[in-house]
Amino acid sequence: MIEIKNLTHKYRNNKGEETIAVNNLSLEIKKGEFVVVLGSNGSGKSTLAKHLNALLLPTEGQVLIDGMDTMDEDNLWNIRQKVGMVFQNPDNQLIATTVEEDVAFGPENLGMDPSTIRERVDEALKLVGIHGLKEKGPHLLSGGQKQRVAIAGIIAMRPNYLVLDEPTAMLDPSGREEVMNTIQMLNKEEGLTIIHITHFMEEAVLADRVVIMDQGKIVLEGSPKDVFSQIKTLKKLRLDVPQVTELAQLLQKELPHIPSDILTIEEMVMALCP
Amino acid sequence: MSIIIKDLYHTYQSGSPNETHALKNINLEIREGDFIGLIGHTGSGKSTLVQHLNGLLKPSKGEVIVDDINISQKGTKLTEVRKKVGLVFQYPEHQLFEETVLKDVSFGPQNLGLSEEEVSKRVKKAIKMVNLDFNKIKNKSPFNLSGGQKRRVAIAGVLAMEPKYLVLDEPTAGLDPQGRDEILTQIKYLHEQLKITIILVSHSMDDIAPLANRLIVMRQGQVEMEGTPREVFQNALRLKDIGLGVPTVTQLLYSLKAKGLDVKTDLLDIFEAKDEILRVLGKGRKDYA
Repeated sequence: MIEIKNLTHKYRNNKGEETIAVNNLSLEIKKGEFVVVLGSNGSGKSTLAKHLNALLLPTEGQVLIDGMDTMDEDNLWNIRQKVGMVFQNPDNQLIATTVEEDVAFGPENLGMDPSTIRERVDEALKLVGIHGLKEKGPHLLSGGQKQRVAIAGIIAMRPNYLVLDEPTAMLDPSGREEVMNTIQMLNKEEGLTIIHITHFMEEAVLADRVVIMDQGKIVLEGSPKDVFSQIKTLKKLRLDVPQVTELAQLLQKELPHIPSDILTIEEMVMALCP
Repeated sequence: MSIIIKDLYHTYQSGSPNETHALKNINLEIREGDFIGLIGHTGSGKSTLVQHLNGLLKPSKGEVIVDDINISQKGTKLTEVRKKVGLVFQYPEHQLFEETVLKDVSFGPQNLGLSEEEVSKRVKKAIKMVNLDFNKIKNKSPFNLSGGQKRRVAIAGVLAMEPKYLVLDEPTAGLDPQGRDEILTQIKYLHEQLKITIILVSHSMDDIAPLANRLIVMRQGQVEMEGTPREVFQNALRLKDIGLGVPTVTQLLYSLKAKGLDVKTDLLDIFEAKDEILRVLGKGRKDYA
């Protein structure tokens, strides 16, 4: 379990002025959960994410990963092995000349013996569906494939938690689908806990729980249905509402039997053509 | 006047084992006043195509003619073409480099050899065009701005060259919903109020559907479809095959139709969809009550 207790993070610029990026925030993430974090730029999402594997340390408060405090330097390696991070730009994360070498980088740094590394790399590549590309140069891959290489590199370290900071922002629709299918599979079949930061509502709809941040605080939290039916609040927070949900609420004025928390096209079709 | 593309081919690394045909037999005309949505998968040739429009790339075969200037003819001054066609790349904020916003936006027009007075007039105008406060922002470092602001400064740098045609390659990628809406509103304004011809490269059908008057869908270096958004989105199945998808509203209407609800499918936004669904259900309204 991840426990974030009264976390505050302040940045200080070179003039000594402080910005509060995360403001007294508390959140628990249970094992096996798929949590999506939404919020406009500057709401503190990425700052929060970087606390989960001790890339940033709390100014105040505490972050516990399976009971380990991120402030305690002795825990650093364990925490980084348990919590893997994937960032927005795949080109900044891939470093080796072939896909398999890239995936091997993490396990090598954990000091594993070569046969275990081989095993882990093959397993990770198969899991994300890019085993056939293992000898290719990462620069020859599509955006979706590159992000899956980045994910495989983390899976190879067998983490418990996967934190993804806008991994689909730079991808085209099919690349986005590839990555989202991979994330969902890792959550459902491998039991990996997912913390996914995104701007895309269609991705948030897939989560168990949606957490919305604004100005460093959590302002809304709940199941996708609970959260997305609050159209007015979301618009005030400058976030998108799924178009189908908005349409459902328009239709509801004339057709009272249409539920206002419809999230997907399938649900809308069911409601209109029972 | 218009941009005419005739039998355009572009081949990367021609003659080598890595030879790639990025564009094959492209024929298009972009008319003054158009708002073109250029759609396609990564690797479909969109970016290669737009780099021909201001002569950054030259055709391997075929012609690109911008208002009567043939970009591949010997003796053509490409600066003339670049004055006419402004190109905003993906993540244009990565190209900001000056110490202040003022200097950054001035860089382009200064290189056109304009008088200092003209440069400063254009810079002021361009910053205003992207809805930023000139006096507040001119002396700030571009690196201390928000993502959306940075991008608008980068676009202002191109607008200060006063192009007739403006090409934007994925201008909303990576922005949050508010940043995206701001940029799209600005582009709409540039087109409607300032009569700049727009070529917008995008993956997002929901963004492009209400804006463009003509869509060009590219696939594997060729033009796969062309027409108004309503016409193109009628080919929902073909678009899905290409991996592009259609706007949410179009998808919904198709699904309803498949279930036997006799709705029109060429609608683009939720308000049109609401009226259409109510119209069709109108008859059987009592069953629902």
